[in-house]
Amino acid sequence: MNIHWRKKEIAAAFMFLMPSAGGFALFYVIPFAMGLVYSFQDGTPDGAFVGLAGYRELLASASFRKAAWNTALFTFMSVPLMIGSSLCLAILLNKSVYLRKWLRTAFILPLVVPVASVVFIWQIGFDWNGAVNAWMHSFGMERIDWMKSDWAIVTVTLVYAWKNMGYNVILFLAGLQNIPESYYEIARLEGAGPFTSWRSITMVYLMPTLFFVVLMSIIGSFKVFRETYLIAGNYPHDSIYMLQHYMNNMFLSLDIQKLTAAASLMVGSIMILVAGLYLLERRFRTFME
Amino acid sequence: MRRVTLLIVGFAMLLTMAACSGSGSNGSVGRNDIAIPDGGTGTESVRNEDKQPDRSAGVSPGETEKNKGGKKTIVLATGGSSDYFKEAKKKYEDRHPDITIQLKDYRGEGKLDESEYDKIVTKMNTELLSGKGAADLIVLDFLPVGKYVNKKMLVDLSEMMEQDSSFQKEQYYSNIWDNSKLNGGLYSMPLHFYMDFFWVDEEAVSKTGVNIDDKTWTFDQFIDTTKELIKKGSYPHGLLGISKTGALELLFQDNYAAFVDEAGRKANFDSDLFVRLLEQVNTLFDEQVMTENYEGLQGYFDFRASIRSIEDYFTYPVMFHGTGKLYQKPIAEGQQTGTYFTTGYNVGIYSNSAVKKEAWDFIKFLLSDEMQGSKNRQDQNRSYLMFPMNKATLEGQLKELLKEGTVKFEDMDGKVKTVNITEAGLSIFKQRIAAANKPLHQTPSQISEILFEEAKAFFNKQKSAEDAAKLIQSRVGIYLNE
Repeated sequence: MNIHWRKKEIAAAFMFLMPSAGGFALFYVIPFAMGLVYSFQDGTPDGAFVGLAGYRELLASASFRKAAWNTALFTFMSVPLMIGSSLCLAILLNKSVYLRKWLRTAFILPLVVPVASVVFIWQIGFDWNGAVNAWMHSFGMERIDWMKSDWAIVTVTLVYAWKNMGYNVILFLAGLQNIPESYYEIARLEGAGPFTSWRSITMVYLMPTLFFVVLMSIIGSFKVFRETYLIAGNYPHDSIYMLQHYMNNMFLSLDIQKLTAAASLMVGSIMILVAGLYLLERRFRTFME
Repeated sequence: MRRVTLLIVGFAMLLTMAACSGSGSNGSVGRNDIAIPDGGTGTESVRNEDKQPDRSAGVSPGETEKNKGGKKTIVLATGGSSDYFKEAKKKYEDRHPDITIQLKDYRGEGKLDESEYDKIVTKMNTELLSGKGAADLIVLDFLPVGKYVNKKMLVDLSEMMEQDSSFQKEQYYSNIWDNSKLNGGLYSMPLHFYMDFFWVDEEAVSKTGVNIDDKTWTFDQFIDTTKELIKKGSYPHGLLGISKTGALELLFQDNYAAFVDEAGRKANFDSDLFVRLLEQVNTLFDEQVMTENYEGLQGYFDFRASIRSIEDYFTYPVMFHGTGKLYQKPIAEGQQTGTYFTTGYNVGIYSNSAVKKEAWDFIKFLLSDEMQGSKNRQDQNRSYLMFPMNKATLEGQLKELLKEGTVKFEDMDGKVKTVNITEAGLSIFKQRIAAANKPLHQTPSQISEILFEEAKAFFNKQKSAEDAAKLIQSRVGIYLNE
């Protein structure tokens, strides 16, 4: 009886999953698998199998190595920055701050602004003749070419963090509100200070959310291409030349082999990163239990 | 349960984004870059290391299906709706009932902005790569031909010419084809062309007593001559109507090999040589050797002499600043003497096409006297006629013009003037067409684009020449090493 009911439930679950799984397969899984196949061929259509030649050529390209390095650097710079600042904001907003509701909305707003508009404001701010340079000039400082010097990566990181922080703040707020108030009360009764209760209660119970946010942010940081492409085109300053720039330019050169090889390598690296995170999370859970 | 949900959501997101960056990034694509064919001055030569087999013999199943039942279809992708190709289709189909020409406009009406242009190139690239929905014949004027040739997407038409015994190369201005080759083959075949000269105020020049031999002068000699003219003569300006980036391009092409080593994937823009080149452009403008403006100014030369028809050739000398002549543009050091030209209506055959022979026959029809003389070529892309490739067509036009004896035209002030057509003038004109061997391109290559963009910051005094040079070096370096 029980087994029968379970079977039915599984069948029902599959039924509900089918439409989205179908669409997902059609638009993402199958194309990616085809891309993987192309990466071992010498061209399209009707390429011959050439094994790892494409990957060898890819790794020999100095621009690819630069793009991979820049992307990794950006991820390791932007993710901690974004998580740190959004966690602080979430903790602050969780208290009864003046104008709390309005502030919450304000942090989420950048998320709904289209990238094109963000880029427009960005250009007004960080152009050679932009607002930031005008201020600096009025303070008697030298103007900086923000998007075409080593400052470019800093600028991109800041604007990227500003745009995407709101999402993390929401997730953290949800996580914070899930921690029962009684834990803090007991801790206070036991004589714990604010730092101790933050470390031993907030951080511990926020861990699952934190894992999720880190995961999402890492994946999200690979998507910064859109902004940099709209600002600086397909050959930007070399500090913000990302993997997607490389892949985009490879498509324009009709070099499908290098394009798919780069994409496969990138997915591979993300997979390893994410698998590592899940492993960590599992450890943490068993530790908690 | 929550953990499982989280896991599923997480992996779904991951895959979505990973897949997105793999295939989705194709959605937005940058400016094109079109190779400058041959002649050593190309800013993007074609890489030779491609070891792909020639797939020109391959026939994709989709292509054969549409040719069932004896009737064959040639799909022609045009850059804009063109009355010229509509006329050609109608006439050709009337004569060949077994062939249908299907016109497919990949460009649409009007001017393109960058994002629309990106979409066009993306779509075309996808079609060529997948072999599905791709045209058999493609008008390549707006497309990155150099890259298509690199990836063996186009058929070498010079081979087809040689194999076809009915095709007489001598009947055409084949020097244009010979000098439009890429990688040693003619992949993009011009059906028309126009020529570029320097306008010269010969009277003013002769007053100064300075001798100019426009057959052999190089850029350096041009600069020296102009300085001498300004010193000795009464005109304050040298070359009118040229921008600083235009001047930079001239000087850059002249020294291309010193700055770009494509085979070795090296750029040399952070060198003293390049910094000096940038500064030289500024000096030339400071010394009035070159001036961007032209209205009401007295200069010995004018840069704006693109000759697109025989009428242009005879009226341009007296169009702008009184009486003048057309001189051959200066050449690079060590280059052969010759006329600069730009091609138009460049067509290519897709290497996976199932109807290559038929497509070639249609190209031959486009080259026939009947189509080459068509007045329908004034479409929205080019509001002017260009010179035909077919010698007989041009000879016919020349004869007619000689019979009339004069050309009437309106000058810049709206006054109607007449120019006499002489046998001697025509024979110089013919020599100049025969000497056309230096291709110019309307669309700048990726390297020139980066060069112009960064050089502008220097010309606007935003940056020092050294800083601009460093930026060019790093950006071109990325391009070369991809």
